[in-house]
Amino acid sequence: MSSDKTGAVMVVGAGIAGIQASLDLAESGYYVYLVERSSAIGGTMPMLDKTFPTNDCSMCILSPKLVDAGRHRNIKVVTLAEVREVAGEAGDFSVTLGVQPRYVDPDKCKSCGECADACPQDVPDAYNQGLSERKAVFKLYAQAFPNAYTVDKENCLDCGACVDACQADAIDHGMEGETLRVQVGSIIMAPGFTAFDPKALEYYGYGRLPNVVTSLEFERILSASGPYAGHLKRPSDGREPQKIAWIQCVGSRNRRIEHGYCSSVCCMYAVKEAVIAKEHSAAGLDTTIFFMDMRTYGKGFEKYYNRARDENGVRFVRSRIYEVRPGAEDAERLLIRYGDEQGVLRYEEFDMVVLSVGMEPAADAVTLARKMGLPLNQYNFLEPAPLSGVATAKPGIYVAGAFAGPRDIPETVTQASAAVGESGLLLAEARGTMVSEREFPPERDVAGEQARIGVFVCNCGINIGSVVNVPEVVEYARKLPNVVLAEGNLYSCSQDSLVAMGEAIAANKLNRVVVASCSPRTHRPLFQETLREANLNPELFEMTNIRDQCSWVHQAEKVKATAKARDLVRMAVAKAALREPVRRVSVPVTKAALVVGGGVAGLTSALTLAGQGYQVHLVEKENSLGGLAMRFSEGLRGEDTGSCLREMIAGVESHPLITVYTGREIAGVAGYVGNVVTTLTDGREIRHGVTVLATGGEAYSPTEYLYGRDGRILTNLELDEKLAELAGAKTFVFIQCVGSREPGRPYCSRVCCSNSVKTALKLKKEDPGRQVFILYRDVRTYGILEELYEEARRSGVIFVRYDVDDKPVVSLEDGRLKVTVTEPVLGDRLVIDADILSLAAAIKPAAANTRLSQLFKVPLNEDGFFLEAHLKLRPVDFASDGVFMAGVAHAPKNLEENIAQAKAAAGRACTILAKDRLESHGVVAVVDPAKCAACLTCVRLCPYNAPRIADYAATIEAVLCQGCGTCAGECPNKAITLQSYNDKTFVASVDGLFTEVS
Amino acid sequence: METIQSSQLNPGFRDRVAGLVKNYDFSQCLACGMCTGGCPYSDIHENNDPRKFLRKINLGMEKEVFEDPFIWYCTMCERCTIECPMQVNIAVVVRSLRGTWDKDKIPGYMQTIAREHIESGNQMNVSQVDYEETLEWIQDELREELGDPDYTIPLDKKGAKYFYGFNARDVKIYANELQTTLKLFYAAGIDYTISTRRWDATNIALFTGQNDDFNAISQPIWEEFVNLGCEQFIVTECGHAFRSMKWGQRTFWKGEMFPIRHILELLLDLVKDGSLKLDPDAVTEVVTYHDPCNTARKEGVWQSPRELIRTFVKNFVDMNPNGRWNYCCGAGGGGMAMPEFNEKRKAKGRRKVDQVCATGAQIVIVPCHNCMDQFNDLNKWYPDTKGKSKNVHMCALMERALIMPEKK
Repeated sequence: MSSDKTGAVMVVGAGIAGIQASLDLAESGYYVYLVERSSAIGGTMPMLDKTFPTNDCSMCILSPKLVDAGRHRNIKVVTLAEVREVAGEAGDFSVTLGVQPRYVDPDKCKSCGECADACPQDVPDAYNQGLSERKAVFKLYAQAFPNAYTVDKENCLDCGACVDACQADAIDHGMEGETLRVQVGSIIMAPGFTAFDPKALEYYGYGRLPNVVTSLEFERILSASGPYAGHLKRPSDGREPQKIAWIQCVGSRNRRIEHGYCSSVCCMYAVKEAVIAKEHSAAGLDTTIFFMDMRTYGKGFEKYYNRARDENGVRFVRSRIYEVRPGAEDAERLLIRYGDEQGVLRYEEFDMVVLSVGMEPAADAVTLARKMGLPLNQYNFLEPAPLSGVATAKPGIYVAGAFAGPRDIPETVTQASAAVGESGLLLAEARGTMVSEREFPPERDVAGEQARIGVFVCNCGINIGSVVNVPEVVEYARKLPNVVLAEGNLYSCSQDSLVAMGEAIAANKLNRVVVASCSPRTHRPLFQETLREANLNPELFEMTNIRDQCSWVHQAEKVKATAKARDLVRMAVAKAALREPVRRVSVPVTKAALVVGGGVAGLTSALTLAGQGYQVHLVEKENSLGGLAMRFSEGLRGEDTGSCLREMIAGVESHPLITVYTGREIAGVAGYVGNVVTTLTDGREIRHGVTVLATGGEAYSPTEYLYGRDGRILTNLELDEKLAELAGAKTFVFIQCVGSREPGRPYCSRVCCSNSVKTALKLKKEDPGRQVFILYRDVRTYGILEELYEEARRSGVIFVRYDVDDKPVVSLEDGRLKVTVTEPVLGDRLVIDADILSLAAAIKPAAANTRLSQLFKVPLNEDGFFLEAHLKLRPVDFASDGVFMAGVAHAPKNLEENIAQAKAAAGRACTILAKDRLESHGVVAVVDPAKCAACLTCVRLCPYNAPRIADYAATIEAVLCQGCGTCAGECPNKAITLQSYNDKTFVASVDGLFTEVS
Repeated sequence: METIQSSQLNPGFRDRVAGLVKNYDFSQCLACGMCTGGCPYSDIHENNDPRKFLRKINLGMEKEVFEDPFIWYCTMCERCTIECPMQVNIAVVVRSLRGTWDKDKIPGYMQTIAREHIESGNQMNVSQVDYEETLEWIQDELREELGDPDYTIPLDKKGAKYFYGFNARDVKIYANELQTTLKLFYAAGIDYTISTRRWDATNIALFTGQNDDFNAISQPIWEEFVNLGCEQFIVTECGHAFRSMKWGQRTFWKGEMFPIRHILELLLDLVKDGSLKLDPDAVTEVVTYHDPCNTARKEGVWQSPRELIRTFVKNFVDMNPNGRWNYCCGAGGGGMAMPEFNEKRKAKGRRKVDQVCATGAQIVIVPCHNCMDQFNDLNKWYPDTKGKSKNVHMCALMERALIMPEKK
């Protein structure tokens, strides 16, 4: 291991895993090289329409992260790049990158699209899965970063039309590729996945029958930015389908094509697509999902499935489909012949068939991993080392996302943060050595000054200028009240314009700036920086969009567009005059963490944090550490959990930075992120900056199936403990979903299927003459765990599906333990004389969660597990800053997943602990104590726990406030205002609209 | 609803089955239903759902498995599991279980055929005298037809390029068709031979699963091929013979491997290299082509026959589905030789009848003796529909288009 460590990390792949890892790293004090093979960051997520289980718009939730990653000072995004060579060792790798030329200078490109309009060459648009066309000069998608076009040289005619069209002089067909060499301390592999190409399964007709589409194509069809602008159409003739079928497990759970694994996400995305497709259809779309096992095992998934079936009317048919053929009468329709579960053959025709394609590792990622000497599993996934969550065979190289094995977005994001946590253990000593902060000159105090406004109107090449009469708008702006300067720019955002803007601010003593140009989403921070460099507070800025909402939408009506631009500018100027500077508040950070819970998750979080040099206080209510996992004999895949746990406990107990408080609980919590004082039940006070809640779960004690009435009826956990004593037992029965997926506990406990299968396999291995039955509702051995299920079947474990309305019946007759269940394939009654009945009992949330949720003011979901800030993209964060969750406290999960999430919580916590001071977000809500009646409205409403009552009035903690404005809107006495967004400015803006100016 | 007692299930049964099929792939079954959907006959008559049958095996219902008529109903066409995601092969399982049968209790007259084949060297018990007389008769006929008094059938010719193996029906029932085939060989001028000793390439043990019979039947013809020192083994238009030779060689032949080809592959080569000349306008009727499962799905020969057809047939219409996905004629797996199940065979054939009728074909090329018998039965059984199309072997239809070379 290198002694001189490098405080930089390379992240390979800029999908959601790479982006999350990069943001966490950069916020934790590491410089990041984010290497991406395509021309823009984002990966697969931008292609998705909505995301399960929240039905959030995928792009809407991703876009802020794209902007953050793209603009981050300590993240260098290298697109069109591939890793050529990795040398060196953990702590100090040298990496050679080959970068393809873009042929467009991203600094000059304004992303106006004139080049693409001029380009004569149509190319199938891979972003739209080939359902539409793009040009040979293109931008991957509208919100792409870098926000610049790229020349697709393979398809380029070299005609020069784009060069002539580009007003910004950004296109250079002579650009050459380059080789970059970078030094990094660690590497995070996050290259993502490739969707399975169903052409390999000719029986489904993909590529032959136009109305058979892949699920990714269907995402694009549903998407408003897709080939049909979000209208539900079938490809063959553009007609709206009335009846759609989804076929599951296309390219998954298929040994024949060496894809024996489950792709983990397809069940949920198919249910989601069916639900969303129904929303798109006015005529009441008929949707059918053909599946084998419905694997809705994640947090909130089971409810989504139930709702889709019971409320949305999605039909679920348990049958794997043999083939898709052209319809009997209409060849554009699709005929499916299938056997239902009873073996009755049915024929049905559909207008469209969606193939739920699985994931496979991307070919170039496989090549790279091999080149780096990283061993892959039999399917070429880079599976993490056992019980590590993220480690590979090589120290200093970590893996995150679907390349580690199929997984959904929250697990991908979790693993990304976990890789950051793990990387921090290696590079802690080099933290902060390669990052820099931007220094700005001191701000000029503008208090008491009369507003002096400068207005800059952008032509955006010809994007605005060809429609809106910019000189006329400039001339008009000059006459507006308080305006001392108005200018037009070819591109307001170009470097020379920005320099000129800075000079104009100084020369004219401007104290407010208005830019009329494009979208604040992409350009507001850029102009605000210019203000800061010119000694102005960034909030003295107002932006109005005269492109997206004016010139682009009123191209045919130039006069009216110009009038609208005048109105927009007038409103902005009126508002700008009332803008006030906002001072950022900052507080120091106590560089210590409190970890609540001493199970696997808590231990892992504690070790990950302490290993990076932060003080950790670990509180455990029991008298010893280890939690529920102490009762496991081994991991799902035979890992030696006992020694792993003992090692962890010893590590925690001997760590100089970790203090363990067993036999104690949390009694009180005061303070906020960075500065919390927690009191334990023994009265001890702990000061810490962040908190990790890792309270674990509890085993459900069944009331079903005669549990407790006979010593031969056990729970899986009890069976695991007793295994050694049962050598003589011959017939074992497992019943799944005991206390899970039931009214009152409607969630799936996620681990029980794999757990029963593992134990069953063990029983069969010990004595192949045993009869082992697993009675299940759906076998949910997702991802690579499917291997266990397959091995169990191969070993003779008998799986019998039961219906929730026809559950197994357990009876005790003359000392015989009898289990009766309907065998669904034969339709017979199967009576099993069992020696042992093991119940896969549910995992319950910890009882302590309720009290902790009140103490830390963090929410629980309706099942009693902690509720994260966002189910998709913030899986370990609470909405309140500085509090994180890990392990079963969040939802049931297996040991491997617990460890990954615990590392992720630590990784996320480090983004706070790495800072000496925390700054407020800029715009925050403030209370006028004179008007406040301490009615608690704001305290109740705030999702971030920012307001509290002190001295009979609310105060809002600036570093907690996210500036959402909920409290300001709801305060009955208007005691709260959101800085820069107060009534005054908006009234002024509206007044501005109706003011006649001569 | 019947009751299955766990105590009656035999957990060791799977090991016995695995011993027979040489793997445990069948136990990977997910009971997903793909085979039920793929089997053309799972809704034609009772006891024909491969999933149910396999389920009994995997549950360990030994007695019920052996009592299940599925074992003999199944045509072993392999359509159900050709793409089974768990790599189960129902036909292999069925054949293996048939192989456990007491030979006296095998249904129909399959075992009689096997016994006679072993004794006589051919499955129809044609005596050597009859065989040689038939060949002589064909030779005489061809001398006349070809106007070549010196024409001789190349018998037992050492070192001939092609060894031609056929079906005893070619001698006993369709001697005129053997004549046609030899005429095509003559026209193409190929170097081939026919053995006077071992010439029947069929093997009924392909369906009875009795491997001792299989070897007793097929080893001699392979040895004959080696003794004559030929280059390629050409098999007649008979799916079962072709499969017996190909699969049997892969499975049981211990000597050096030699190429075994379907006659239609050879004929296509001869047309393509110009040795055989066909009149492209000779056949104007609507023609369709039946893919024998053994030839197409199991041994991959379905493209060359179509390519061949297109050289002399003007109106070719494929059945749907076809090729690798074809439907069995309904008489596979020895179905022709089990008259006690004729009602089932008739019912199964209905699928094929509908398929043929949908093409509107006047002529069906049936390149298989077994399928041909079934097709002819279907014509009788369904005279109003299928009865309207004529069933022919490929060679017979080709003869209509044959342009004889100029005499030198």
